[in-house]
Amino acid sequence: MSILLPVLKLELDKLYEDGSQEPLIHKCKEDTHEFKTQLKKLKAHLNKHIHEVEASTGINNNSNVEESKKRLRRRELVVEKLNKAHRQWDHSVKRNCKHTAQQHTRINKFLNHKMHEFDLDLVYVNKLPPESRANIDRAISFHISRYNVGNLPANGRQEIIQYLNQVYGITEDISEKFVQMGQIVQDMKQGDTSSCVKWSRDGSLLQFELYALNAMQLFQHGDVLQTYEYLTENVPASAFKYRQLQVITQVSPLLTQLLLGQKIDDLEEKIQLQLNKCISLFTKEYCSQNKLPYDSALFLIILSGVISFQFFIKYQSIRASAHVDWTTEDELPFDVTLPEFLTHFHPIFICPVLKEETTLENPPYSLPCHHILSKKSLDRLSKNGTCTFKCPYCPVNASKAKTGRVNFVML
Amino acid sequence: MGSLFNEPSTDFHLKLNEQLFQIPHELLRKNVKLVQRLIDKESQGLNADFQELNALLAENTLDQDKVALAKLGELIARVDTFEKKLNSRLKEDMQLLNRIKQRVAFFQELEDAKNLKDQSRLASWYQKYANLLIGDYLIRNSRIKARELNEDVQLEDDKSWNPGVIFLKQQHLDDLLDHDILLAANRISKSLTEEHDLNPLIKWIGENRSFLKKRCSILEFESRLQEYVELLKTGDFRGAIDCFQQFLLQFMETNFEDLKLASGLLVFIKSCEQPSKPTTEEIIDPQIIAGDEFSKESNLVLKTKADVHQHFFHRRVFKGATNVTDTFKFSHLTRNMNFARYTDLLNIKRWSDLSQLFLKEYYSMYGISHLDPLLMYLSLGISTLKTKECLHGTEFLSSNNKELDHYIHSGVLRNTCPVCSDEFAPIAKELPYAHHTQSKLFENPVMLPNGNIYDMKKLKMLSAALVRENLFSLKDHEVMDPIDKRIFSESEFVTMYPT
Repeated sequence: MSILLPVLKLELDKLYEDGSQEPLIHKCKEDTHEFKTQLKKLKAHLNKHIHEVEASTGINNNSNVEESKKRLRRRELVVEKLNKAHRQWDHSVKRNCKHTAQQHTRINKFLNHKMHEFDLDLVYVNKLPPESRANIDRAISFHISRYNVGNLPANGRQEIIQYLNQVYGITEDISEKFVQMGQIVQDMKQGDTSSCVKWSRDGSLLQFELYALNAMQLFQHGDVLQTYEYLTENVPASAFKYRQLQVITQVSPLLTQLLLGQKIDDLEEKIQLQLNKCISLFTKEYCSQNKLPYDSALFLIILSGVISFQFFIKYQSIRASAHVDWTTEDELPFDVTLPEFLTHFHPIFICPVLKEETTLENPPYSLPCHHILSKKSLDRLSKNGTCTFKCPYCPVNASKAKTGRVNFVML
Repeated sequence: MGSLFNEPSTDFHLKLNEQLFQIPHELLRKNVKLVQRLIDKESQGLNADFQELNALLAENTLDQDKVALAKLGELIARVDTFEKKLNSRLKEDMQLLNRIKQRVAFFQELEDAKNLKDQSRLASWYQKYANLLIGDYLIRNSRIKARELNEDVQLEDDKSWNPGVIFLKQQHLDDLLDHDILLAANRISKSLTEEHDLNPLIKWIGENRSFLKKRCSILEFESRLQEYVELLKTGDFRGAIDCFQQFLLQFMETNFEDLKLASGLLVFIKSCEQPSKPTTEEIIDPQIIAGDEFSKESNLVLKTKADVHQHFFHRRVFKGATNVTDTFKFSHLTRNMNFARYTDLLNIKRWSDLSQLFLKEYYSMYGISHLDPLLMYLSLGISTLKTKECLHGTEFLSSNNKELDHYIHSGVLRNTCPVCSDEFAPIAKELPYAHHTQSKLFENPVMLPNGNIYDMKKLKMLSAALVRENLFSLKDHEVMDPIDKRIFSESEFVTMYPT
């Protein structure tokens, strides 16, 4: 469970006025506005007063002492109110400002003490050489072509290639691999699935889902008859082959609702969900058919970087307290446990005797008892092949002549 | 709270991306300070105005009242402009707060995905995270381009663009990164390294002088020194002296040595200019790069008399005999002096150094990491994925059957390891391997007589697939080794125990 996130949220909420979506300094603005209207009102009063005085002096001078007294009192009141408004504004605005500043200091403290734990720059131990920039740019090009090609404001094969080149500097040899995919995804996003239907293989899962999507889109237009017709005539017979994939099971509840004239509340959402499902299915099939990696190399490397970050930090804190140094020259000094989908690329065999990973120079050898050791440990056990030895794991004796080099292959 | 695939906790991510909150918060504080200043100024002004107004009103005469009325009108106008200014600050505040809110929501998304144990949601979150890193890298490093005129320009800031910004916009992630901050840094640094234009930097220094002072930064000194050197390079001595007096003298106490050097340059600039660069240096150079003494000896090229002289007496030959010009006579006289310190000042590399210095100050101001985060993740990620078997590539024996070869090589044995991909293999060469303490193999390992060990089930599945796709006909209980295409019977399987 996250501890920091709720606290952070709470602190940030205090930057807003209580129970509203306005930031704290909004109050200053309100106060100022009120102050302004107040001033305007008082100005009108003062104006009126001047007019009255002028009028009264014009007509008769001594007619009404009472009235002039009244006017005088009113004038005093205006002056008093003016000053009061000013004082109030001054006070309120300043207090508000101070309050805001205080809250910011609090958040600053929080960010510095709770959130700041390590310096990112210190993590970067094995620096990438500057000449690797070109390769990184290529990897980024690939990544962008793979994931962003469906979001471009360009249409048509040539135009997409050109756009990718002009904006991102992606060369054609990379972008052309994904152009068709981008076009089809764009079509789908615009609600036109025909290009994808044409692309999809007959009887594939993608085809089912596309029919479901089409049917849902037809519902949205609300034409029951047309939808019915589509479902009865266009859906291929193979759509009924697998029970769990039946288009009908997805669509029939909606159809019934439509027939009954009920409104379907979350139809938009459902269509969006189905669209995303179709897009991801399509990209998966497209990539596998064109022998392209489904996840870009860049993404997988970043992901394993993220995962190993915590191990690195842990190692560093241990190192700091135990005063150990960067131990191995060509190996990371800590073991990172990666998920299965990031480790299935190469088989890793650790020699059970030497506890070292086997390499090209030190390949694995099989013993007659079907155990496997590395060449180095084999040489040592057999004293360079001069004598027989006992397998370290079972009582079977072996000689070097009976061992054979093996090769692990991941399929 | 367990993790789905060993990914760090949400809190760890927050700490890792502290800058995502630090930057907008810093901007918010700046904004509030501006508001404060605005209010202080306004409040003072209004106080004075009110005193005047009260004085006028105290007279209590009709004429003075009229003046007071006019004054009140002015006052209202003043408050009105103040309100407008406040409004624009408020708008800015809203935008920044919104940014922070979006980011909190972004991490909430991660927390939700973890709580729901939803693998695909988590993967798509990391997809976004990777895109953010890429956007960050692109904004920092790629060239800024001016927006074409036919596109509609909505904001002042949008006048220039950069692939990174476009990418984030297209991915709908633009609120999650402070692209304006990064873009501004890029703009200033590119103007230094590419256009050799100091103006944007000096403007920035002017705006942030108090911060730089607090850090005791030498940035201002270095940039003024560069300005001075540039003036000297163009031969504008008067301008250079003016610049020296106006901007450099104030650093007398802190950088006296540098000032001495700068004034020396005023005298010696003529003799440090390009023609004095001896041709021998160009031949020596590659050897210096080559490094150790041994290779230096073996690669030594002694082409001219001058080279021989240089090599054995460790002293450069004066080229006087071959090339006598007016300027040369002077440089001839001063040749014995150590000019390295002056030529260092004139070196073009100073531009990139200055840009580095600026970036360091700039990023530390916002608490952003100075190095590209993407490179950090890549360096770590490549190392954790790099096994001893990476970068070798398995060798295949091709058969006569092309279709079969294609099927096996591009489908079955195709290596999808990201470290071995074309883009990353050259980078990975220099990086350390991952550390493993446990074998990571497959279930049911069986050895074929040729020494290859496979997963038994996978091997059988492959053979079944070959038969199904009509690529090769195999009898029952026969399998094909995909590497050397030999056929073995299942009875030849040897179960292995790789402990």
